[in-house]
Amino acid sequence: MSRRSRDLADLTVLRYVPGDSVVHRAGALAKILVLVAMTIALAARASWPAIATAGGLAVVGFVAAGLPLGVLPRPPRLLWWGLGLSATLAVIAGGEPEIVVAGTSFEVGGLEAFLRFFALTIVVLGTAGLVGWTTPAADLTPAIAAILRPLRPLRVPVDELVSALALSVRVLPLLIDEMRTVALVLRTREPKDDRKLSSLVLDVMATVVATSVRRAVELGDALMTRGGSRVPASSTPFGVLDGLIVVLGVGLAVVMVVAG
Amino acid sequence: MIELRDVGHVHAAGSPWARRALQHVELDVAIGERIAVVGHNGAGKSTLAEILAGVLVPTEGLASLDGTPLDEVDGRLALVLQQARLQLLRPLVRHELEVGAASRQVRELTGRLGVSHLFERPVDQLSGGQQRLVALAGALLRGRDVLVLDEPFAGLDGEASAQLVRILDEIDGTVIVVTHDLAPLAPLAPRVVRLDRGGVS
Repeated sequence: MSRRSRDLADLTVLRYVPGDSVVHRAGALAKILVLVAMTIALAARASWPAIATAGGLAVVGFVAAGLPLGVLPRPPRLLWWGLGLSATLAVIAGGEPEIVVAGTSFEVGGLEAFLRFFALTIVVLGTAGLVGWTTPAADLTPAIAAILRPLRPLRVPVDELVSALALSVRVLPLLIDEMRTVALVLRTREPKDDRKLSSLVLDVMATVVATSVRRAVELGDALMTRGGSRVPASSTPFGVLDGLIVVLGVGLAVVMVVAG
Repeated sequence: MIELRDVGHVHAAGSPWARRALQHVELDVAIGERIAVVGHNGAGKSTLAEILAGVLVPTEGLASLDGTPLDEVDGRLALVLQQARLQLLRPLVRHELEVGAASRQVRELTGRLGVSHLFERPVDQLSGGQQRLVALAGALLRGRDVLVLDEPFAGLDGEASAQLVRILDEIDGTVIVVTHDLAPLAPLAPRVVRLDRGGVS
């Protein structure tokens, strides 16, 4: 069996899956507003019923969008090991409540908190993924600009923030490409590198930062020659469907906070 | 002998963004042979180079060196990338080339490659072509017997390209050059493998 079966080129972030579902037709602004409302509600009330409600909404959205299961990322094995270790530490930490199994009592408070945090992370990432898979990347920036626009009277540098965000989205594929190249390079280095791991990690980080800075400068130059990074206005008007989605989503978020 | 049997590769296989890069590639490369892999943009050249260097496992078929899957071969394969900066993980050229080889050997090789004057330079201050030559020097000093070079002539002037070909000609091991331009390789008289739409033609 092969030792290496994964390739970072297969990593996809914020990649749009074309479709004509109701979730695809909804505007970016409506979907981001619901995402923000859900995230705030979960941050305010991270209870199991609230997490289950938000998770249920994400699953309904996933099914309604007709997304294939292939869009779901396959985390590296290392992540599962890390989660297993964290769960073990959480079990050792103990804490209320206590359960009795075959006459022996166990404190499972730490494990319950860990599982709740894990479930919350999956739900938030899944909801954000749903927005990414059903919304063209070009529509995200104008939507975020529209959400932040009310902060302008408070002298918040909205345009600069949105431009930075748009550039971040744009350079994501470049960063993934560089991470992949470094991963390839590490595979071709000495089988037994005599240097300490910390030294190798520092060298890799320095290399990635140096090349990323160079790429950022090139990207900046390219943008300036095209007249700077203006944020385009949204091309899709806020329709009835968007209003309905926002009312339902934000309403559900309010219920999650109030009912706990 | 490097053997590729019905090798194919699909990037992001199983996802909606799956993209086929190679299909049904059959290729035998003898040890010591010189191979030029040519093809248009998007023909799958870089994917094939990564498979031949053992850093990418094909999603279909088998790629092996003397019967061992290429991705399990340690210390015999080297890949020199077109964007070589990310291959140079140490701050100075000198650090990059101090890989256990005798200093006389390092001096001799860097002299032949025309990079000995760069010894004390930070790798960030090198041009793209110089970075590629330093990466090649590192691979040769590590004693790899199969060298895979992805677009090695990009950004090199005529003299530097000719010098690189002379160096490649002197190497005892297997040399596989992936390029869209065969002209600089003429003195090496390599066997030419053409890639077209992901397959060998």
